[in-house]
Amino acid sequence: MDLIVTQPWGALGLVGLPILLAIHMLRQRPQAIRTTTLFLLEAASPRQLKGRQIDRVSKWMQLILRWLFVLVATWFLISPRWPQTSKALDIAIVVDASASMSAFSEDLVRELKSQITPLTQGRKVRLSVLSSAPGRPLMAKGGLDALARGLEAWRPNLGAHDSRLAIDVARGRVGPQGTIIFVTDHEAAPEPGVWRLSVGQPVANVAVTGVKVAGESWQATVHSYALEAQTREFKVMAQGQAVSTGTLQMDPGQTRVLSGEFPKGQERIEIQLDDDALSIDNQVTIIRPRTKRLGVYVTSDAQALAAVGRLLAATPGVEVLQHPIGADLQIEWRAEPIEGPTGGPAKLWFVRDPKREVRQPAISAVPAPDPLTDDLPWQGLVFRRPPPRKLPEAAVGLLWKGDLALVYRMPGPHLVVRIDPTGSNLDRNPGFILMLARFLEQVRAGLPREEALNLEVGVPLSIPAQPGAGPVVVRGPAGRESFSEATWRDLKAPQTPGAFEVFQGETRLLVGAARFADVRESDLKTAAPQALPQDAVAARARAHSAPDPLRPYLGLVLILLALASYRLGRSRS
Amino acid sequence: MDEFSPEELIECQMSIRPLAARYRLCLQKPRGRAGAQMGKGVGASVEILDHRPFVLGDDPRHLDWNAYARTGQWVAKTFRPEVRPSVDLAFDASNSMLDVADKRRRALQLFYLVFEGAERMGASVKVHCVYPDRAEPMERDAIQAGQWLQGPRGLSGAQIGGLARVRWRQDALRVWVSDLLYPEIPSKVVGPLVRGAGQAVILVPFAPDEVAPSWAGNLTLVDVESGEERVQYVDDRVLDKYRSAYLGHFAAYSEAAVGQGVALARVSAAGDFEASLGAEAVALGVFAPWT
Repeated sequence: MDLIVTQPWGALGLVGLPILLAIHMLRQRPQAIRTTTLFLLEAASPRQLKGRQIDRVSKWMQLILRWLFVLVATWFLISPRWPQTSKALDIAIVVDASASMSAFSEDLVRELKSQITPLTQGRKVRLSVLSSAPGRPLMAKGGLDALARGLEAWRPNLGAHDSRLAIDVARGRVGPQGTIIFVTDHEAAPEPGVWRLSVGQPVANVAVTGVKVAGESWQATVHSYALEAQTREFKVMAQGQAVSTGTLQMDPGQTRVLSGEFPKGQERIEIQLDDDALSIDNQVTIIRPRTKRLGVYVTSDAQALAAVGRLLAATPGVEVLQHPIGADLQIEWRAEPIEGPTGGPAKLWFVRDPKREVRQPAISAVPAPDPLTDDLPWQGLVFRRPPPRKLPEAAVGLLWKGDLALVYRMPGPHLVVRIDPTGSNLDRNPGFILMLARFLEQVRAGLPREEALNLEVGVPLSIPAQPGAGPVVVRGPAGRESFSEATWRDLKAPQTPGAFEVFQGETRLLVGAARFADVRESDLKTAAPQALPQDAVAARARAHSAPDPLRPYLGLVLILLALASYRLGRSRS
Repeated sequence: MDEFSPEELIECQMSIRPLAARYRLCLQKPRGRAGAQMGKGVGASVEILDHRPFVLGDDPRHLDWNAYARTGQWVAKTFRPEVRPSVDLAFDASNSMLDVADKRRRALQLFYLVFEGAERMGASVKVHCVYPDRAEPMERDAIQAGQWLQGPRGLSGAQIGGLARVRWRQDALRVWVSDLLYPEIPSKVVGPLVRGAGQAVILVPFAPDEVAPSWAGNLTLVDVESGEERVQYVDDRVLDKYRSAYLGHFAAYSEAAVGQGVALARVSAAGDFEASLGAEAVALGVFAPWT
């Protein structure tokens, strides 16, 4: 049975043992005394006893008494308690899944065991090991061996995220009497009811923090998160071959830019830095981005609208078609249909006001919450109020003047603008232009065509998967992951950096390059160790323990030992 | 070792004179030339000693006519003699006597008490200063000037050698002032004192610390005579053995003194001198108040 030491500083009393021994061994320097009767002593005690040697033997009883006094006093000071092994101890360990923890994962299990052992004190432990990653399953449960089992294949790779959900799950597992330990790598204020254990320490790190592609050129920024100068070798790889190498001399906090052009015929390069404590940000894959082609047919009436021409010219990947066949989007300017646009490709419909009635100009249109209108400015929009008309059944109003819908959308997707551009300043209103640009991108996103993108790891993917065409499969550096139709909304880029592809059936819908881009995780200068709050550990251990039954008698024992030692000393003197 | 000077000796002598006026040295059998001191035998003083039958040859002037008138018997009167006693005073000048101030002062007080007392009795006094290796006779003037005692000398062994060289006078009272702290057979010390039908007194000053030393623990004991060192752990057991040896040592001296008819009086160095004197020396009749 292990002992719970509630006052560890009391163990300093043991220092008294060697001190007492030293006093007993050293204090008796023979004192010189002149005497007139030495011959009497010679006759009475002819054996000459060496003082120090005999002292070590003759005073052993007094020394033992004083040692006992020190031991009993130390026992009293450390306030020992005996654990109640009949009660199991519930501990939930929530491990921070952010990528920076990978720099300290080697010592994680050992540090956790050393910190938890004083808490368990030999009692049975029900341990739950959870990841802070949202939606991640329980990693392991059981005794202390669950630690090694749960963290054996654990590879944290998330960016900064909220751990409260995982902590709530942990709280539900252990109940109010249980212990929750949140393991991370930096110091922070403790959360009520959660003990924080940090296994981090300041480490120098150099990371690729961003990429940029413009035409054939690429750029990658490299930043040093170190307090000392760093040197890193880098390689630019294409098809497994190094096309460029070099050395980076990085001052503390310095940012360097690597740049180059894609090799001819290559769609993808990879930049690799020397490995360091945090490896996830030492390499980045860059692909030459390709945007989906958006075929747009503009009716002859609509071609008269200057705003349409400017919009299409400013939108990349747009191909203006001369006929409606094969168009992905058709832009029209004509009288408003009663039921709204239906069928065919997506439509952007400007309603013509044939009567051109002179009405009072209106201002202060109010947008409805919608992805197309969120956060757009509509101040300064001046228009002629369109005639009242009931919205089609499937329509969703996006911009309102009183109870009159000025802009609405319908499935298709179709966007109907009921303001005649010739009777307003629509083409100069920023909110309107941005809304149209969003609509074009919405139409483009819905096209089942391949595109190539540079993305961050774990970002949601908007894949125009076709219902009934089978599951969507993501093939990334960490393997293959399949998403059924019910889980398409959970489609994300892989968490492991590198190139990946998204297929539906045999159709490749996306070629991507995922990179780790959360620079907060790369900065390990602020990592710092933080032990479990010892007072809280002691209090928790005390709550599961019984006091020492001998404690009430220790005072009496101390008094008796002191008296015995005093009497022995007096009788000697 | 504490130093002492002639001034200390003179001061001690001056301080002892009032006490010498109150106490006299008791002589059991005063003998010597004619003098002012009543003798123990039959002499020619005017003090009647006894009566005895008159025999032919007695001085007719000693015939007691009054007794003859009453009894009709020839009775002769005998008279006490008047003598001048002799005192031989020997002082042990070993380190053990002089090393500690209290004990040295008490030894000197004893010496001066005998010396002054003998002087007051009109006795013939001879003083011997006994060193471990020799005995030096001292003149009266040297004593009065405080020049009779040299500093202690640390000589190992032969502490009794000096005493053997003292020339004791035949009829003198022999007074030996010594602490008797030397490893010698007591009879060898006491015997020479009474050789030649002499009478002797041994006055023994002692320090209380010699009777019950306050030794404890680890000590390096240094002999004041020889400088010899002994590292000794002293506990109760050792102290008990020491006390037994000390008491046995003086018990042997007392036994030897009794056997030889020598008065031996121990005088403590602690406390008032008169009180220390009364404890044993006066009680044994070595000193007595003047009447």
